[in-house]
Order: sequence, then C-alpha cells, then structure tokens
Amino acid sequence: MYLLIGIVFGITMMKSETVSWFCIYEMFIFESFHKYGIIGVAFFLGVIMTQIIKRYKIKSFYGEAILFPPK
Amino acid sequence: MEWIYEPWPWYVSGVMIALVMFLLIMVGKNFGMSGNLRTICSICGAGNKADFFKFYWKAQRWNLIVVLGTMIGGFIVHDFLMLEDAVAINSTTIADLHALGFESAGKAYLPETLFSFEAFSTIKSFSLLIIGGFLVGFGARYAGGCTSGHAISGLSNLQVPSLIAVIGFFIGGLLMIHILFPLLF
Repeated sequence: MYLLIGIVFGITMMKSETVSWFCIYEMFIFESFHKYGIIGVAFFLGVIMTQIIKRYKIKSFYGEAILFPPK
Repeated sequence: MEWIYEPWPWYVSGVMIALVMFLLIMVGKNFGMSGNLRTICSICGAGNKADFFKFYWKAQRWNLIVVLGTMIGGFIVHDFLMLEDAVAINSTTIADLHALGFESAGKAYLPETLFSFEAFSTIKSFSLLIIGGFLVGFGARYAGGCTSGHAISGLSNLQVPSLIAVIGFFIGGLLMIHILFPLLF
C-alpha cells in the first residue's frame, strides 16, 4: 500500500517536472507560473480536505480517528 | 497514446499531490518526506549520540517504503513514460542559464554541471554537493519539515509555524538564486 502511494508520488514528481533543478531555478527567477500553480492547487485542496476531515471527524480506512500532529 | 509521454500541466500535478496526501491521511499517516532523514540516522545508530535520534524508528518504516516507492515511480517515468529528458522551461531562462555556463539547460532534466558523476571530479561542484546535502539535512530537521511536510501538510492544516517555514524556504531560495548564485557561477 505505502509502496503504491510512493510510486504514485514519484510518477507525479517526475511528470510534473517539479523535481527538475531547472524548474526550481525558473520558479525563483519568476519566469514560470508552473510551480506556483502546482503548490496552489495542492494547498487549496489540502485545506478543504483537512477541514472536512476535522469537521465531520472522518475515520481512516482502518476506522481510527485521524490526528493532525502540530508542526 | 502520445499524451502519455507528455509532462503534466500544473493543475493535474497539484491534484495528484493532494491525492497522495489524502491517501496517506486516510491510512492514518501523514505526508512528509524529510522525516525519513531522522529515521535513517536513528537506524544507523545516531540515538547513541543524541537524544533527538532516540525514538522508535520502526514506527516510521512505512515512510521509508513511501520513499522507496517514490524512487520506483521516478524510474518508471524515466524509462517508460517519457521520450525526451528536456524539461519545458522558458526560453529566457534557458538563455540566462547558457550565459552562466549551464549548457544542458533546455536539453536535460538536471544540469550536468552539478548532477553527474563528473561533478565529483571538480572540487567546486563536489564541495557544493556536500555543503548542499548537509544544509538540506540539517535545515529540514531543524525546521521540523521540508516542502512536503510544511508547505503541503502544515499549510493545509493552517499552521502558523509552517507558514513561517515556507516563507523562510522562499526567502532562502530567492537569496540563493539572486545573490549567491551569481557569485558562484
């Protein structure tokens, strides 16, 4: 299961070109919107997801309560 | 079937990252890559020297498996799902990088100047890699997370420390590219 999630993540990182040094460089000289778009979408969906899980106390697939450890 | 070789646009990639986080949350875990650095140090016995590494690392084995999967995913894409290595970057950026001596800009996935076996042969790139690796490892742990842990997981939970960390990452990146980088190359 974790291996599969990792593979999906790896494919995403490569396909989105997020891991490319060139893309990171381009982001910091503000010549590309690409990475800001990626992180914006992920953040937007992440907030919604986290708030819904907290509000409705959604249980994990194994029936355990979901905790968000503070950073 | 041509589309399968194309890079993904940002809105697809963003959704996929959120999906990965969703899956990890729903199996009762959380999304964060750099926590693995601490786990690996503990496995290597760092717990004997510092209390920070004295924790039950076996409970973190799932995250190492995620990293293993991430690497496999990278290989799958590189070997089966892409035709050319070049990443789609702006032509102005390519010109800038060429001027700085990065000839592989616009032709490769990573600059050969820094990431190749030849990079070990010059003192400059070798030491940059070592210093960079040290700073990434130290910084990600000192801050309690990296881009995935703070910018994605932490910000999604509306955590102020994560926001501070992300602003810090960004300032660091800007300083590097605009001030240190021209000095180095």
